[in-house]
Amino acid sequence: MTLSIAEKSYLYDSLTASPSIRPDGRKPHQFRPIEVSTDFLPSSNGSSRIISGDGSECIVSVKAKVIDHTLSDEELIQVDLDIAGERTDSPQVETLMSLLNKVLKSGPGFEHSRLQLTERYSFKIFIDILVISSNCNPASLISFAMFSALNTTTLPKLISSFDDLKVEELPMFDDYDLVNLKLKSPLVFLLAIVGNNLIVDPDANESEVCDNAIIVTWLDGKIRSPIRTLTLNNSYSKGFDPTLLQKGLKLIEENAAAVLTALESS
Amino acid sequence: MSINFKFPESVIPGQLLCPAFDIKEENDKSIVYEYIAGPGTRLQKHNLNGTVVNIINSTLVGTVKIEEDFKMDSSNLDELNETAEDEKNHSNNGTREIKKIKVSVVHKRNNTSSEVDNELTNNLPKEGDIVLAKVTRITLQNVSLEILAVENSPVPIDSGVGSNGHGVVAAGAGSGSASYSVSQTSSDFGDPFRGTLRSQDVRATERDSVKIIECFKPGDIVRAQILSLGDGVNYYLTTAKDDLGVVFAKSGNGAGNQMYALDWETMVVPSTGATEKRKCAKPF
Amino acid sequence: MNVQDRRRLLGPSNAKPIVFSAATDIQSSEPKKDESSSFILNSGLIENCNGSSLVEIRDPKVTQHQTSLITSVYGPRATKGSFTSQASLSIQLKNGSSEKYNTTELKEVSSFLVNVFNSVINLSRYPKSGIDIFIYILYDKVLSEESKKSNNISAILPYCISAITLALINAGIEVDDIATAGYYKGDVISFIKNGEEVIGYWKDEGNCESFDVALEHCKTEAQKFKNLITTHILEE
Repeated sequence: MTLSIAEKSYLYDSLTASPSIRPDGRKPHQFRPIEVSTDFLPSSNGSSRIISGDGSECIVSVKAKVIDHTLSDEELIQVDLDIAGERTDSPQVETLMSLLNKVLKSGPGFEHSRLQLTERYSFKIFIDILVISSNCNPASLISFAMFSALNTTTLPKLISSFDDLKVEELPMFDDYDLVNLKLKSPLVFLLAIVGNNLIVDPDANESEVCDNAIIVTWLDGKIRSPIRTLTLNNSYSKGFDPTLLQKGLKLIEENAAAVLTALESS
Repeated sequence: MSINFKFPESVIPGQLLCPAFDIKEENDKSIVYEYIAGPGTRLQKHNLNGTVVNIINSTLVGTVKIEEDFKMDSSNLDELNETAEDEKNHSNNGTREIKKIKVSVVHKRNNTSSEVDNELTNNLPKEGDIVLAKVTRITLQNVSLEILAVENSPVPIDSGVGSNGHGVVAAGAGSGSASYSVSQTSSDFGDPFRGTLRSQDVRATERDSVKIIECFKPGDIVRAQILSLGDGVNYYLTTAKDDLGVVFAKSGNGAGNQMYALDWETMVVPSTGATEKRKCAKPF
Repeated sequence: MNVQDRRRLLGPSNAKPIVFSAATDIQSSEPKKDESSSFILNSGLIENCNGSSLVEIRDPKVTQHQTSLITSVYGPRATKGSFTSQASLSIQLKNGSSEKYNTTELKEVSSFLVNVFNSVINLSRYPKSGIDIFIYILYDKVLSEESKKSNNISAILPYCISAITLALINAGIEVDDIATAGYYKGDVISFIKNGEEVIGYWKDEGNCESFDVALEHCKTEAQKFKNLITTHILEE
């Protein structure tokens, strides 16, 4: 649905008002309701399905493979993204995929060493994301889905010994027992800038009129990289006051923990 | 009458030119100057010492051009007159004059070539512009054309490559080669702007009995006016004026010699005397 | 067949119109250098595009990268498809012979650059058209040992932004301001209007603790690039 020029102008004026008036009556830091269900794909190690209030829907599946990590230093988590109706080499898909891979890159607070099985072998995690429908930038929704999927992922329990450098043996797993991986992946937030106001989780209409937007990654109480600005539309995009960047990062820092609690309780 | 504002001569993008309004007191009369952003400039909000001001800034490298007593469209003018009257009622002495001044920046490169009058810094055809176009295809109802140039403005270096046959598009360059570029499909000869001319717009009189074949042939160069920006593909053109129509054509579907206009619907080859039917532009 | 032979009435493909060239001065091919001789800016090198620029950065003292970028701007030219009231912008970033960065990352950077320049170019001036920008990373070498490990594209982002700005100005495409950016420890911030407005922020590594410091550093660096571009334009 596209808005007319007059509608956009009205929406822009109400969003730039102080305090901003959002079309659905949300507060600047309020998210839209989401519905998450996990562990519904029997053939994968972890899965989740997330539905946003506006009909955006996304499915995430987590699968694992045992690799010899001494042979290559590739990343232990790999993301593959598919957006319905988009070609896999379209700029939107490639950009988002590159971003998500960077989000899940090993770093302080999110160590891939937890995936290590033995001295020699590690689990490599493959995350397949399918965005079934999306009305606005799906980065935030995807990260919530990835979090829920990784949080509920269960992997086979190792029964062979950890030290296998000297003895050549393949890792052995228990036939029935599974261990919960409990990997807390970073969350990604989308923050729109309209005039001098900041609003989190902009919907499709708000995206149409915002000046600019920031993608912020958050993990364990802290803002971390990657962070980028992006424009969600062509006609309204313009520069913004540098202090808004700081304000935005602070806004996320204050409110992200609540989102985390909500996602964990699901 | 002089503008009490000192404009810099040559400017660079982002350079502030003037505020949107300026006031000057002269013989107990206050003159309000209203500056209008023309081509090469843009009216923007700037934050100066905490207050937001509307300022016209340059968007090109070039020289500033100022047109005084700029005439706007009548609708806008009425509106402005109303506000001017309002202001008159509010001010006590009732002596206030509004002068409109159009500020534009002429691009440096265009300025150096002296052959054409470079009033337009913008290469794109706009509504009302006169263009030169080449006929590519005719049907009973329509003429398809490729726009070669906008009158009084230079052709961009890379466009019209397909039409005039010169210039080289490097492999791997141009929007056509990139699979996800702005124009997803394109010919290998560049992307000219296309126009379409309906049979009703060929001439001003007897619009319904126009036979396209007696007015245009493929290959003719036509002087036409832009009616509207049209749809995604075509500009809509018209030749319904005396000075619009075919300006250059060759006889025998392009195989023969150049023809000259005899009257408004006939062209002649001087060497053979052969005539062909065209909707000609008035040569003078 | 829906293919039309538009060249049927044309002369030989290598035919060129007669051009009576005015006795123009032959431009000195000597690139202009700024005071520290570490940045070389050159524009208008490529002849069949509307605008182009060559940006070379080579002093190890000033920057950790030794980079050379060629940028070309094509358009505004006609687009196919539905009517658009303003120009659509596309930017393609390409590896040179070194094949250093992977294509997915380059695409991400490209779309970041599109985001940045969407807020700078006066797009509404060009209805129904597309502007295509191509950047070719001719050469890129990391000089400092410290940043050699992370194969990071962030450091060359400010150069890309300056290169595009210069090429756009050369093409005579209307831009609101000279957009430049600065780099400081993984943060790239792009500014217009003398640092009063941010148009792009990119961060790929590190935490977000010293944002104020980064902002100031990037602002000074962006100002430096802006001054370089300004002097280059005025010299031409």
